[in-house]
Amino acid sequence: MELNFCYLYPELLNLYGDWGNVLTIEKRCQWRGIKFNLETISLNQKLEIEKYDFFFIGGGQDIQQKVVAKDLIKKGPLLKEAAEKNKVFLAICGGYQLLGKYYQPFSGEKLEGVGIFDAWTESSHYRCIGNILIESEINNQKIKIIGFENHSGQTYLGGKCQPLGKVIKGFGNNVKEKSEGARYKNCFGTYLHGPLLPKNPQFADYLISLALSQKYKKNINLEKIDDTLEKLAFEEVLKLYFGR
Amino acid sequence: MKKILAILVGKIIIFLSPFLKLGGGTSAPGKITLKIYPKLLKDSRKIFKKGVILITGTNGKTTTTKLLVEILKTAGFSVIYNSGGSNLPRGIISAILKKQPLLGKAEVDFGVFEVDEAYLEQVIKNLNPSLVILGNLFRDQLDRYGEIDILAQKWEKALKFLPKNSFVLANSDDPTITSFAEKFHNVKFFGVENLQTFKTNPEHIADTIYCKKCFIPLRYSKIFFSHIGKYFCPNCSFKNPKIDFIFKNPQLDKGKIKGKICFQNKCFPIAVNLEGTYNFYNLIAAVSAAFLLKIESQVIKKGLENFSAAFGRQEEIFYKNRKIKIILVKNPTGFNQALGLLKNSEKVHSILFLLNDNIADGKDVSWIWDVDFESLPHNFELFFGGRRAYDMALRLKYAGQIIKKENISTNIKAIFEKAVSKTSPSNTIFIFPSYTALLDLRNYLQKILPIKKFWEE
Repeated sequence: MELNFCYLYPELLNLYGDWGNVLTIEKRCQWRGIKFNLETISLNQKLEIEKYDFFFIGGGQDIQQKVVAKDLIKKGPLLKEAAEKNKVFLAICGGYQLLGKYYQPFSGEKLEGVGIFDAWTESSHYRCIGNILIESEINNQKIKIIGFENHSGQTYLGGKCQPLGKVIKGFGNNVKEKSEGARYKNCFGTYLHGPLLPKNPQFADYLISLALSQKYKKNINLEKIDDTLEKLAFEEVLKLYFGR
Repeated sequence: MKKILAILVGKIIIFLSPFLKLGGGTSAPGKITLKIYPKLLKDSRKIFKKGVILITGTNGKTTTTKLLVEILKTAGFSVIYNSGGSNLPRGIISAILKKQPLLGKAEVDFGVFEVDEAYLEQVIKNLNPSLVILGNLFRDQLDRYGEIDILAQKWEKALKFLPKNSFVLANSDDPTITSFAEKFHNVKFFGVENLQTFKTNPEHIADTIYCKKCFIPLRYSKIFFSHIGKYFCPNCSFKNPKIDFIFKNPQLDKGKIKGKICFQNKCFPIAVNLEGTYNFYNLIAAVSAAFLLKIESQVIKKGLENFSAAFGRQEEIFYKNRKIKIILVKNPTGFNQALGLLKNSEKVHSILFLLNDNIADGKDVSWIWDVDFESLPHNFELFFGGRRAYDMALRLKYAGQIIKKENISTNIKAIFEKAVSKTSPSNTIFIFPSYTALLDLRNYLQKILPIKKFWEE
């Protein structure tokens, strides 16, 4: 089996070690003998969505987000089409904001988003910074997901998409609600850094199996691999910050 | 009256610090005195007869400070400086209080202070420095500072508060700095020439720097590390400004940095007890400052010969017949450079990573995923300690290393002793601690070894 992975704007949207999410998917495929093919697509480069099963977009500074938003005017409709075709998307922080309907920065005009998520983001003076614990339901199972958030943007969800999960402790999408992230079909957006996937291998594997199942048009179950270290790292953060 | 009270209180706290276990008295005294008398830092400016020099940058502040101080002392000047890396305003005032007699009639030649990147404007306004050194700007503790672009803007603004005759000394090979520094009226540049080891593409895609005017990626004829090198914008005329103080043919040779320092067409050779490409820049920064302060090259040369590395910056100690090298790591660039030192060291058997996530370390440990562990050879035995030992172990697992569960412990003392016991005698252990993990390690080492307390330097 093979997984074709598209890393969007890697040299622009790459704050907070988000690249580690790409590495996690790569290794978790390779450790199972699944071939991992990585391509990067950036400004002014042609995007052929048929080539890929999984799209990743990370976080960045305001200036970079503006530049990407401009490029997304061309690529956006293609990405939206990929989302409708059930391809997997993982979008972190700034990337998450850009896959929504719009992002209103402090100064300057509203940045139009791709519109995969029925969500919009506004700058604020809130500093949503710290370790965060959420509960998410995937494959009819409730799992805990742990990460570190760092955003002043406040994201609100409309009726057409679900949150990624419920905040147990932390801020989440905005200071008023207890939802975190967004989900639409096989697209996931979140504010969680950490990076997100290394300490949450169950979620990483879920994304891989979604991508492969969609690609091979049958239900793919991944073989179990040793996650002892991942669990220890997760539990250590639980102990340090969430009193468990 | 308030001022005298503030100084008195500060000096009492400094005296009591070792007994009250307040650390080295490098920060607490300052914090409290500034509360009693906030103008203390500004008032202390008049102590310094010949001026104040400020040193800032993401990496290398402590080493650059120590180098410059060594040169100034060799030249016969009296200097107050902040050692132990306490570089917030309260750390600076603590350093001044320690050396200043009770009623502030002291006269010291120079104040040399490293300043935390986010506090440059505040300290410039208070101390009116005659010279500011801008070493480099890399991504660091993002949960504290936010973004490189914002820091660059802050620095550009901070420079506007400098006295008219003051100088800025900037790194010509760092485009994040030169893009604004070259606009300053009294700027001089330092840099390297003829450095033989370089790449032509960025090590990490994250190191791409964009031209501020054209917003397209800068191209490099030579990249030395991170975004440092010889760069140009393919569209406009932005490129490395002309270097006033050149470090020619810098190289590493048997644990020393060697090369030629050139200024106004006069050159002289040097050899210093330092390692690592990044230290080429710290070295030339300090030497350039010394030249600007009108110190003669012979004296500079002598000062450099007297130099030995600071606390946690390539510190070397011996314990139970094992050689232990401790190198502080604070951000991806610094860590990559520190890992580079492994190549030039012999008989390295073990590596101990110590990662904390306290405020001074950066609470978000995501940054370790931007460190290039993928090129770490596989012949070391790895150990992990500190609050986030497991996160570090996980990072190395994904970098393709074999991780032994028994080599991981949040207890720094225990894992240090384990690393020692599992390393054969007369072999070397490299320790890479984050900032507070280094302090934790030092606290333990001071109990078992006759090493200096860091605040005693």
